[in-house]
Amino acid sequence: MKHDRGNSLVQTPWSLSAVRKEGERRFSELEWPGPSDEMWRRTDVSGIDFESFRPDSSAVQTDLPERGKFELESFYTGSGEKNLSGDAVSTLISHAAESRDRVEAFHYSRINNGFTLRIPSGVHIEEPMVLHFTGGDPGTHEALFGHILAEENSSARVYIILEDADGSETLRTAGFHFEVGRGSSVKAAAIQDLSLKSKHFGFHSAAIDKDGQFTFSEIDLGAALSVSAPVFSTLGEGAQVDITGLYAAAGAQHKNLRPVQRHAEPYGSSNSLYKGALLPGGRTIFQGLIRVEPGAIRTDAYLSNKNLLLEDGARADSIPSLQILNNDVRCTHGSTTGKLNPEQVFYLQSRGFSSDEAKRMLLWSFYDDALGKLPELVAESVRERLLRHPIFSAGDG
Amino acid sequence: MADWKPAVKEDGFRNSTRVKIDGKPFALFRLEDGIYALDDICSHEYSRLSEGEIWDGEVYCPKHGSRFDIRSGQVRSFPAMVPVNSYPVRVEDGTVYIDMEAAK
Amino acid sequence: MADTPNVGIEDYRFGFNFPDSSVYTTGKGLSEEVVRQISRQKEEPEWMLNYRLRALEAFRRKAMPNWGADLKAINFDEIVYYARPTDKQSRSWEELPESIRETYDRIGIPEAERKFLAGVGAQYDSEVVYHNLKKELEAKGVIFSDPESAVREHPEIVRKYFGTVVPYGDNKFAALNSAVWSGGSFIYVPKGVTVDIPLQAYFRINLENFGQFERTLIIADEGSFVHYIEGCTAPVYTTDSLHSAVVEIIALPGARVRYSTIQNWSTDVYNLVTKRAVAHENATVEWVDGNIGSKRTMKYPSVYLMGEGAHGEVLSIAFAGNGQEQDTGGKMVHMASNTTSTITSKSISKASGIASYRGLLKVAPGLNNVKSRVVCDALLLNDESATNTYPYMEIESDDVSIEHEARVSRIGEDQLFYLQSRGFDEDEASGLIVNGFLDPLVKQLPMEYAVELNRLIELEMEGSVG
Repeated sequence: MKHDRGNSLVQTPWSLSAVRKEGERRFSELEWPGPSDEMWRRTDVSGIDFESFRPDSSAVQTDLPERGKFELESFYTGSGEKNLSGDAVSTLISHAAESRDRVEAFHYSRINNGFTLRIPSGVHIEEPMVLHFTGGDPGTHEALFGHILAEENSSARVYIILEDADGSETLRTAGFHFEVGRGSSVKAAAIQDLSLKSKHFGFHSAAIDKDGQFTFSEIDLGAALSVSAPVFSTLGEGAQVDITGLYAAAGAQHKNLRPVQRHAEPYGSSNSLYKGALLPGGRTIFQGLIRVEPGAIRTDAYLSNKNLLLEDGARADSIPSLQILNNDVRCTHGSTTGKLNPEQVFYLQSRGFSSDEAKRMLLWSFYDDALGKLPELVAESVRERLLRHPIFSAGDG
Repeated sequence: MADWKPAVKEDGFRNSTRVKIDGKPFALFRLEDGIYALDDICSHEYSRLSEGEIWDGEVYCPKHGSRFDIRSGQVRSFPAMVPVNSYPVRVEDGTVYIDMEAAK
Repeated sequence: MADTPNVGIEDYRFGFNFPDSSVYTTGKGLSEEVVRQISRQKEEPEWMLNYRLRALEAFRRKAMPNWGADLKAINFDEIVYYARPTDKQSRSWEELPESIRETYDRIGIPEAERKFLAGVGAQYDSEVVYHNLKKELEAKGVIFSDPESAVREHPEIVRKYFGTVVPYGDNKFAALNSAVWSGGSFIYVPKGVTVDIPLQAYFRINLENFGQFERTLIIADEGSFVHYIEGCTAPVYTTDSLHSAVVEIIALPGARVRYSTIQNWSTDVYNLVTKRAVAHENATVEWVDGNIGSKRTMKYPSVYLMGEGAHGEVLSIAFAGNGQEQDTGGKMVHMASNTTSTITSKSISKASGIASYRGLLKVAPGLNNVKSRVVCDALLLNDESATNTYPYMEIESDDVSIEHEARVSRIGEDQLFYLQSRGFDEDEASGLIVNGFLDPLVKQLPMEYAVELNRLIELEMEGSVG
């Protein structure tokens, strides 16, 4: 993995427009995805007029520890082009060029907000860095990028929150790209809590170098339609990835989560747990993939998806896949789908709890292990958001 | 209270055709004893029955060959397992009408 | 016995050698005329000819599947779709290559079966066995015949069920089979009848048994039981490159059907099969499917659980050797409450072989108490071996318990070391471990098959390590 150790504030004029141009070029090569594309068969985007969402964004709100130890540059339309590091720009350009479908290419062609963050080698930052994006006006499209580079033997915590105005309908596309250097450790979280009418498409990625550790939490609660396609690649021996996905789908919410754990180098390990609860009318599709390339010997990879159907009328599709091209590996995946245990509900009711209260307690207990894997600050925020989500609040008053 | 809406001209098709009324797709079939209307969505995987072969009063879904009775919508072979809806049809003054009340 | 030969599966490439004059063949390629000739040869009624012709149309219209194993090399124009010997063949056992005779020895196939497989006479022995069985079955009202006879002698039953589980429009290869089908089995078991011994295809001496386009239809009436076994572990030698069979099973309320297949096609065969069963109330269908050999296999035995209390099971073993692709799995469709299903798939990939699991578990909306468990285990023997797992779970009811697990592993060095320290050489040790891996499934087979399969695996394992 190359590190452009030169001046991180390399002057590359019009750097973001180079990314947008690449996105446009790729966009013109592709068609909008349809039901014959395996990844889009269950998620129909043909009714969405992407281009009708006018681009708009707003400045990020940050909560950062003392400056000086790291370098954060943020940018959004309206405040003029800023100069970004050559690293960030070239990473974004290659992602744009490799867009897997037209939606992703569209995202790159419209980049209008984002940030780059560099943790220098040997620097360890304990306090979390929180970035809060609230998007533009109702009816607009914010295309967000983030480039987070943790150099050798550094560590940091980066939590990103996506929200918009209550009741508004916006289009949010976002791609946060993490580069975890040798021996460094990054704990990250991406919380999507948009209004229940909005649409969200995520294209995050992480490349973890030798002995690097990456812990990622993906929280998908909001939006009428949300598609998230993060790719986690281990690029060096001893790289470790741990992913927790937590989602909830109430009536008229459709979520499609398709994480990829990709092992290209030996002795890597990855472990992911995705858990979601659904109410009637909710629809979720989990299409996670573990891919092990030839030569990635001694890979240890695990993937698990668990769905809780709270009542009849919800639909959870689970398609965890394996593509294993090397035999000296340990790879397993598991999936369970079911409902609340009626005996447990009855037991709680017999102890004086109402049916609703009993169900809520059991729902917390379902999410408990996933919540336990989240960094404390993130877990707190997620608990609050879950309480406000129809999955907990439906049936109130 | 029936709600007859015009679908197509009686001589506007040969053996089968697809029409959309108020956004809902119907498959119309002409058999020896009259014209019949079904949902134009196979109950298995949603392909168009209006494009299927017709033999002996049955239509064969073009995707996987499931058979449906044209007159009643009853399913006659796998992989479909659920019947499709059948709708009352009337022909008047050279136009075919479908009862949209039944479609609710 | 002489030194055991080192015979690889790759050595089984020999075919039927009929002198031209005694074979009727429709020649290469497929056309309406070919289909008409086939129907004429079988003296079929009009309705079956019409069915074949419509299927031919569907075959021409349909596209090749855009998923699964690589089928690009199939050349439909080069295939002979129908050939049958018009005279009884008489060859001698001694005419067979020595290596083949010795392999049969090693696998331990019974005398009568060997001779049949070798295309050698000895009809007498097998015919006698078959005749006795036939009398017993007739007494119970069981019909067990080839499908051609069933079309002629039992048209009411055939017309009621034929093509209702797998319609000719289902996929390109089902359409092909529906147009040119020949041979296979027809079984009808009356209400409440239990058929004690497994019915096997080779009981009926008919060279079309191992044909390319078998069509099998099994109807188990209420409360009955039958176990049908297709194929055998000995390599099936054939000059044909495409095997496209269709199996339809209807298990009426309370019936139980078990269908076992151990297939070991030669390594140039494309084995593409549509196998589907319908289980009504309280009925059970079990597919036991062993796939070894062939260049490409695509097979997904399915059970549609239509009535309460129905149960479906798929036990699948796949062995993909060098250059082979096994794309197999199972489908369970739950359409009623209180139904259960299990799919257990074990695959082994050796050298550059690829074994993929592809399965579907579907639960319709509004059901109660549905349970399903899917377990896929893949064993990769060498560096270049590969496996893919694509399980599709589409769950639309909440009162369900659905579990799916997949594991990929290789032969552990410690296990190998332990066995070697006990005096086994590397090949033998690996063979033992692989047999252990397969054991839970092999236990479900009738004993002779289990024994043959174990020996076959050992053979395959030779030279596979290091």
